[in-house]
Amino acid sequence: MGDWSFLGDFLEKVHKHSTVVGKVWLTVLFIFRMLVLGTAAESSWGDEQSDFMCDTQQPGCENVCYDKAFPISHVRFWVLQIIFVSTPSLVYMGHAMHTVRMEEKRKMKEAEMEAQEMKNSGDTYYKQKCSAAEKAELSRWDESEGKIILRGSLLNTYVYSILIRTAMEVAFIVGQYVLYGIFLETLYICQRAPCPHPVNCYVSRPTEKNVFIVFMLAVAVLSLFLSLAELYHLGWKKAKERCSRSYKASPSTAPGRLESAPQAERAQMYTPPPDFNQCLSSPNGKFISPFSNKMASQQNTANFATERVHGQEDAAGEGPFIKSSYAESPEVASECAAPAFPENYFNEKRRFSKASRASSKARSDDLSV
Amino acid sequence: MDWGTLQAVLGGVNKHSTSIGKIWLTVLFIFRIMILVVAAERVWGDEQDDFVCNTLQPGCRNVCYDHFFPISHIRLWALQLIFVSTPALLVAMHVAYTRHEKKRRFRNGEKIDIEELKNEKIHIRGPLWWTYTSSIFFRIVFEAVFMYVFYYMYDGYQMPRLVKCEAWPCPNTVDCFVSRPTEKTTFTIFMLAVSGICMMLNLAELCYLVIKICMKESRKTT
Repeated sequence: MGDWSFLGDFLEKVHKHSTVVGKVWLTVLFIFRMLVLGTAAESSWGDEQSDFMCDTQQPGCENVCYDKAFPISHVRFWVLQIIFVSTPSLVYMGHAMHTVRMEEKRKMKEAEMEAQEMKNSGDTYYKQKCSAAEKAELSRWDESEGKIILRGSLLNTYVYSILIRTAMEVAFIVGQYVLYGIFLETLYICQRAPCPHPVNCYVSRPTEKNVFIVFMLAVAVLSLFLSLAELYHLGWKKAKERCSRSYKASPSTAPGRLESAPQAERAQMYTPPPDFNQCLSSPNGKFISPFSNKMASQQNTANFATERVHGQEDAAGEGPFIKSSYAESPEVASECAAPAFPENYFNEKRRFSKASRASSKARSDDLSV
Repeated sequence: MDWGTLQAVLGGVNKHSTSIGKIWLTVLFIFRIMILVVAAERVWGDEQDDFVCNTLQPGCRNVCYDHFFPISHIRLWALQLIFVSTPALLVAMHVAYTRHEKKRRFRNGEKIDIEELKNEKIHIRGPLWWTYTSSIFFRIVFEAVFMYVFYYMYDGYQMPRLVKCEAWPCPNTVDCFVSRPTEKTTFTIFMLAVSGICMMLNLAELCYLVIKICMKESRKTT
């Protein structure tokens, strides 16, 4: 029995960061393809050459006839198929891990920069918060759940990996049909040197092999359908998102807004935690003008946060469905606001959130750090 | 053949590799070791049993098989994989030595960054850079050598269907037929292609490391 553990270990990691359909596909791959191949099909094909009998005494005739009948054995063909079909997922996994590492590096750098900024003046404080908040939206790593959030280039990689996987699946199914047709015949008539004349050769266990061939073909077609379903699901969700985003983009522009339109788009891609859904009432936070003093800038941050969360709230039903879960931890709540605050700011913020037009009443778990 | 031990050792090296190094390691495990274990060993499994010669002369078949297949493809690939993986062990040893040195200096009372010691990632710079780069260089050399050995030993990469053998004690030129030649050719070409890809990855990693260090040096001087 072959050892699939090398591939199995890699695919376990992919399993963790896949969509629901992706997980089903991986389970089908593990159980119906790898396991069946390793346990049953291998032993069925074990004596394929030793029991390939030709009606001749001519030495070498059996060898060449077997080689002509089976240029590549079914089992090896399926092994290659499984490996090639799994490879795109590995590429996606590599990209995801790379993204996560970049995220961690960026967060570390930000933490250092903020620590530095705190020592410097507070004028650049708000800008720093802006960019930090901006970057937090782009984050693809949900710390609390330890899962990857699919958006942007990562989502594109995922889609491409599924496309390539589909293409590979089709190629191998067609290849199998071209090489062997669908069923194996019991009798194979061979005419090849050094066989002196057309020779009858008999394949070993043809019925059992046919059962497995049909089974593996069916599983390949099922995997193909699962890949197509996943593509459809992703495409549909993306299109729906784009429509809702383009609808949202028009009313959300307000004069003197500090953040640009793409920011709003990114905001709407964020799937909000449930505790923030109740935070807001009005559609848009009103940014009046860029503030210079600190308290006003804090007010602005509050407004920005609430506006962003409201955008998220509307996109809640249509956000990337791959989002791992709504984490109800305080860390996520604080993500909605800027990541780090000086001490007095925290108290002032509570006061302002009561007074501001954009935000609703401060709640006990609001902005908890 | 138990490749799990190699996987355990190389998995440790993975932490201290560049991204290209990690891709190389993945390709090595999935496209080479796994293919070898799961597929290729089966294909070559009956290579001597089903090596048939058109003669009744006892011993002729054995001698002819030995003449045409001095070392089986499977064993050559296993050797190739072991040789190609070995330089990475040098890196692992160097990293272990560095860490051991740091711990010793810390115990002797020197101020060492504890966080960096605890944090397992060690950056590729200084003497480690030289070790790492030379390990990649040796990897490339071993790959090239083995690819040439295959070519030289088997006169190209195609498995012939029929070989004509005149070795003693065969009384005359005897036709011998190789088992599963097409499948063997397919896998030989596949393994060759993957070796080529691994070599490209190693070259890319080498270039990346050299360019990175040159840029660093130029930044220091400016």
